[in-house]
Order: sequence, then structure tokens, then C-alpha cells
Amino acid sequence: MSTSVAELRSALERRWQGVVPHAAAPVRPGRASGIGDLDALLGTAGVPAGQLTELFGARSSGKTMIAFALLAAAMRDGALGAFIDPSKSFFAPSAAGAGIDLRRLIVVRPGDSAGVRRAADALVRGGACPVVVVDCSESPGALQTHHCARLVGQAEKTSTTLVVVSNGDLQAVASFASLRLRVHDLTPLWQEGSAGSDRLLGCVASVDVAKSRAIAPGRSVRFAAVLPDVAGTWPDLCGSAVDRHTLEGSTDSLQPAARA
Amino acid sequence: MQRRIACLVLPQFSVEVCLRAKPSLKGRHVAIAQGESRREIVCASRTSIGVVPGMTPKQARAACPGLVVVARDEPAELAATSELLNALETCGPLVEGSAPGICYFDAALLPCGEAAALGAAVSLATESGFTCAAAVADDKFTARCAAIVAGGGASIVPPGGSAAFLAPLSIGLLALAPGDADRLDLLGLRTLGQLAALPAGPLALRFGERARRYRELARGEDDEPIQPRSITAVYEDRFAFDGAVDRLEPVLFALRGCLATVAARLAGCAQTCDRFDIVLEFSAETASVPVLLAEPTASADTMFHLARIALESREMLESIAAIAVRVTPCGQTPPQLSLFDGTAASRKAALAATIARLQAALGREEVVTIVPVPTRSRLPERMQQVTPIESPRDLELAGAARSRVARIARSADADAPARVPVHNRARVISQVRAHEPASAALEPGSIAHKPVPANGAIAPTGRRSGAAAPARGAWAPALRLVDPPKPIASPAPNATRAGPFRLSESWWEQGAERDYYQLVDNAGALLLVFRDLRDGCWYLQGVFD
Repeated sequence: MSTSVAELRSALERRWQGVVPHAAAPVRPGRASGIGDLDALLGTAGVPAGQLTELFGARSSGKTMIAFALLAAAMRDGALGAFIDPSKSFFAPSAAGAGIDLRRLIVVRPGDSAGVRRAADALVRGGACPVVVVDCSESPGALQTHHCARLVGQAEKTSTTLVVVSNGDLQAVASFASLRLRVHDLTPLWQEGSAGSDRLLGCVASVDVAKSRAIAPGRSVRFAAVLPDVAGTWPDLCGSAVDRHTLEGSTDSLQPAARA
Repeated sequence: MQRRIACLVLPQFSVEVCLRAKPSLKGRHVAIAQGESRREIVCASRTSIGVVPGMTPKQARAACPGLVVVARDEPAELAATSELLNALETCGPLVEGSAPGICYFDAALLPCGEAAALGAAVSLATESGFTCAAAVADDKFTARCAAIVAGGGASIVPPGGSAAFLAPLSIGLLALAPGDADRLDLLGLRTLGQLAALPAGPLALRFGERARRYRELARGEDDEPIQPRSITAVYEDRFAFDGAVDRLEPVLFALRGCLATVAARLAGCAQTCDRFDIVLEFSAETASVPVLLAEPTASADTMFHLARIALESREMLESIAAIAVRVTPCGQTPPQLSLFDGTAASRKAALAATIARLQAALGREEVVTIVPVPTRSRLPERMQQVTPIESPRDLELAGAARSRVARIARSADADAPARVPVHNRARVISQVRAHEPASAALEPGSIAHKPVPANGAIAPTGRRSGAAAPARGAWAPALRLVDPPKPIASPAPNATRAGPFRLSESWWEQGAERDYYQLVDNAGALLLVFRDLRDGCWYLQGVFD
């Protein structure tokens, strides 16, 4: 392989009468993902603004959690966010627990793949939402090559961070994405409950960099996520944040259970 | 110029409005309760002895046997107020209906004199079926107090005599903040004159800045002007084509002209709008296309840009005979341009264009905000409220409120460690301990399975698996809702799970009795499932992802 690269290089130098300078593409600072370990992994490049990022993984791998964290981090500065939800699986208490300001989140619930494309086009083209998340987990044919090409072009113009959540089977998205993160091995953390029954405390998720223009692919990180409320489903109106702190303090009793 | 303000107080306004709608109640003891559930009495007829505002209906009935409690009819009250203001416009040029049963009008330099104007106002109200009292003074507060204490008929406070008039009156005439009345009473302050005599600075130090306002009112220095009601005008412009048009370009050409005309009229009246309607007149019917704006504006370009988006998405553009634009002013001034944030206006315009495109492409019902409503139900599929985005301004206003809260929180966080005493922290922790078995509120059942790691050994509490030393942050696993819940096969008895969390609610309508579990299925997915206690079947409620 190295021989062929050298030959190609010399051929290019002969063709263009000189040495072809090899300059690395400048790395533009991106957005923080909102997850400390993942931010440390991605470095200054972060989640690139104006480009396409793909979060992929199997069902129940933790990809939606990372998308929520990214939205929450972007909206923490007062920006708007958008979530395209064709499967109508968006669960507001869970998103609120992740820190998303739901009054400033535009949720679009298109009924078909064409609607997904139209919604993504309108949101990216408008530029009002710095982060747009498209959930294609259950819409595998929603984005084809020409759709991705148009969306990436529009995102670059408006500096919109376009995030596609998928199962990893979208070839076009994989091709156009400048950052691909593979999320896998969501491992539950159990805690013995005080009333005789156990409870799910949170999860540990793993993220691998499958493709990146800024850092070497293959690097990975594991991090824990703590449920903010009872079962991650029933928020407590009085003090879910206080409860979270308590849970975070009781790290000694965490027990990740292996998959059945 | 000396201000003179007349005030008309109708103490039985709500009851009289009710009696106008339900004449059969005349002669009976009637009380008006606030809201559909009629939880609080707000007004009672004179014959209802012992009934005072603030009572519950039960208390009121106990005080006055035979009392009829009627729900407040706010639309009828608004209509009655509008009718009364129409009549009062014959007495003074500027009229204001600030609250139900209280009207003001400008009584300065009336040619017939104040007494005649008051008499005319009282007779107009009486003819409309209302008992009232009226007064004239230099300011609104004094005029209202004078009308209240007069009890009936007309009263005139001479120019410059407000402070002297108010001095002997009770301090209860002020709209005091909760608790202030007791504190003032403890200090022996019972009349407005006593309050007016106090120095402003120490008063504000003890009661807060609102005390300055109390003092101003007590001294007859209420500088609040009359806020005259504005008559809402609808601006409309129409363009009729020579023949039926079926292409977009001529429609847009005509639309631009109509919008320019309407926007010029708006701007000429110093008014703005936050939405407008495009009316398409076909040969046999008409269609209205609403267009929402991100902020109040009178800019024809902004309006045309969004109107173009709304029309471009329409498939039916056949045989348009005429087009009209209808604008209702929103009664707000144009937003102040920011000196240091030049992008704010363009950001709002981009938001409005985005929402317009989304609504045009997908329909209004599919562009929504979703907020949790855990107080409505604890069933996950009923626990959130989906609201179509009516206006881009909703999102902007939420952002402004959030920014304010964030600023306050930042300033509070800056010195939080110094301000939270140790005993308070202990109290917080004790609250947490009390809250910790929150699952108890969900009635954990008796068949809880202990989660067992795959190696078969129950890991002892107090030790953490060292393979992944997880970092901790403010993120959380997301639940993807399955709505409606999907039937699944019964999980394996040895499946790793936590629970049950028992939910039982709404037995009186669509009852639900469920045992919820978090469960790891055979494929390794972490699920939220439940067993319906009514039919014994298992359902998938969500997937943690």
C-alpha cells in the first residue's frame, strides 16, 4: 500500500511540477456534547458545527441519551433545539431529566419518510436551531445520498449541527458524516432498594469513535448515566435534582449487571 | 394641568351580571364562586348575610342557609364591562375598565362639571342594572377609595385634598402583599395617614420596595395614568384579478402590494401585528391562510417573506379571483432593537421562517412542543402534553424567561456555599432520605425479583465493579416511549429485572392497574415493561436508549 501511495504521490508531483504540499485540514472548534468524558475524547473538535454527525447503535445502546445530552448542552446557552421524531417515541419527562428545556425544543413528528426529509430540510435551512437531531432509528430509508448532500450543504451554510440517530444501517449518512460515534453495551446499574425491592440506578454506556476528521477512529470511552427519578420515568415534582445528588453520592452500592 | 379622575365602583358586579343572565335567581341569596370547580367565593349579594369573599362554598352555605352558589361567568362580565364602558364614553373622553366592577374615566375639564358627570355616570350604570358608587379625585387610588367609602351616590374629593381625605381611612384599602397587613397592625399602623407620615427610606428597609408604593398611595400621590381602552381596528386590503389566476407569481405580486398597504397603515398608527390572514377568494368559496410572525412588526418585507412560504406550500392555487390581507393589530409596540446583539432580529426572523416552513410542509399538528405533566397522570403515555406551536413567540418568550432564571441562578450560585448554613443542608439531606424510597409511592409489590448478575453471584452492596469506573455527570438514560404499549410475551423468570412499581389510578374512568418492571431482555436491551393486573398480560412501555 505504501508503495502505491508513493507512486501516486510521485505521479502527482510529476503532473503538477512540484511537491504537493500536504496540509491537514484546519480543525474548527465544535460543540460540547455535554458529557465530560466524551468531550475529553473528542477534544477541541467536539461535535462539529455545520456538519453531519451520526450516533448509531443497536436498540437500547444509549444513542438517544447522547443525543439528549448534546441538545441539553446546546440549549443551556439559550439556543433553540429541534428533534425530529417520526416514531413518536419522544418521552418528555426523560428529556427534561436530561436537562433539555422543553419549552424551547421544537419536536416535529412527521408521519412518513418524506416528512422527515422535509422537516430536516426546513430546520437546517432556517438556521434558527443550532442543533437538529433526526431520529432515523425506525426510519431506515429516510435519508438517501442526495438528501444527505443537500442537508450537509445547508448545514454548512447555517452552521447547524445536524445529528442523525440511527441503527447504523444508513449508508448515505455514514458516508456524509464527518463524525460517527458508535454507542454500545448499555449496562444497567442496579441498587438494592430500601423497601425490599431493587431499583435501576442508571446505566453505563460505551462510545467508540467510528469515523472522525479530527481524531483517530477507534478510541472509546465509557461513562455512567444516572436516572434522575424513579425508574427514569416518574419525575418527582419536589426534588428530583436533590435525589440525583443523593444517588450520585452513593456510588459504593452501584452494581452493573451483565446482560442476560 | 390638574388631573381629575372619576371612578365608578360596582360592588355587586358579578352577582348582577349573573342575575341578568338568570333572572329566576332574583330574590334569592346568591354568591359567585371563582372557576369551574367553584372553590372560592368572590362576590355575594347583599342579602347573603355572613358571606364574605374568600370563603369556600361550604362555609358560605353554612353561614347563609339557602345560598345559591353560581360559577363566575367571565365572558358575560367582559361583555357587561364593555357595554358599561360604551355608555361611560358619553361622560368622559377616556374610559378604562381596569378590573371587573371598577371603571375609570377622565374627568378633567369637563364642560358640564364633575358633579354632573358623576351623576350621569351613576344613572347610566343604574339604567344598565348595576348598583354603583362614584367619586372624583386627583388620582385613581383616591377616587376608588372615595367611591368605596361613599357607599352609594357620588362623592367629590377637592383638588389637592387627596392626602387629607385618605388620612383617616383604613389601611386595608391598600392592596397589601400577604402578611403585610398583620405586620403593619403589629406596628400600630391602622390608617393611611399614619402610613403616609412615615419616612420612605426606613419603611422600605423594613417592608421592601413595595412599601414605597404603599406610602405614595397613602399620600394621594398615585401617578398611574388612565389606560384608555383601545378599539381594535382590522386593517384589510384586497386585490381582485381581472380573470381567475392559477399561478403563484401573480398572486405573490398582488400580495406584496396588499401587504405594503396594510403595513403602511399599521406603521402610520404606530401599531404592529403578530399574525395576519391571507384570504384567497376562489370562484365559489374562500380560504384563509393564517401567517404567524416571530415578533410584533409592521414590516412589509417580513410579512411578505412568511406569506410566500405559506403560499408556496399550498397545492390548491386554482382559479383565484381575488386575494385579501387581513391584519388585526396586537396592541404591542415594536420590540426595542438591541444595541449589542445585532443578530437577534435575524434570529427571530429565521425562527419564524422555520416554523412557517415546518407548518406549511407538515401541518400544524405535527410541529409541537412536548412538556411533562406528571400531575395529570403517572401513566407514561398520559404523562406528557403535546401542544402545537401556535406562534414562534412562544419559544422566544420561554427563552427570555429562562435567561432571566439562569441569570438569577448564576448570581445565587456564585455565593451559594457561603449562604447555605449547615443546618439547612442537614434539612435538605433529611428531605432526601424521606424521598429516597419514592417507589413506595408507587406501592412496590410483593414479588420483587432480585437482579442477579450473569455470573450467578449477588454482588454485595458496598463494593463497586471496577471494570468500568464510570464518570458521573448530569446526563441520564433516555426512555423511548412505546405508545400505545405493545403486548409482549411473558419475560423469562430469571430475567434481570427491578420492580415492581405498582401504578393504580383512574378507577373511575379508564382504569389502570399495572406492575412496572425494568427488565433486561434476551437481546440485552433494557426495557420498561408492565404487567396489566386486569388481564395478566405483559406490555412493552418503553426502551431505555
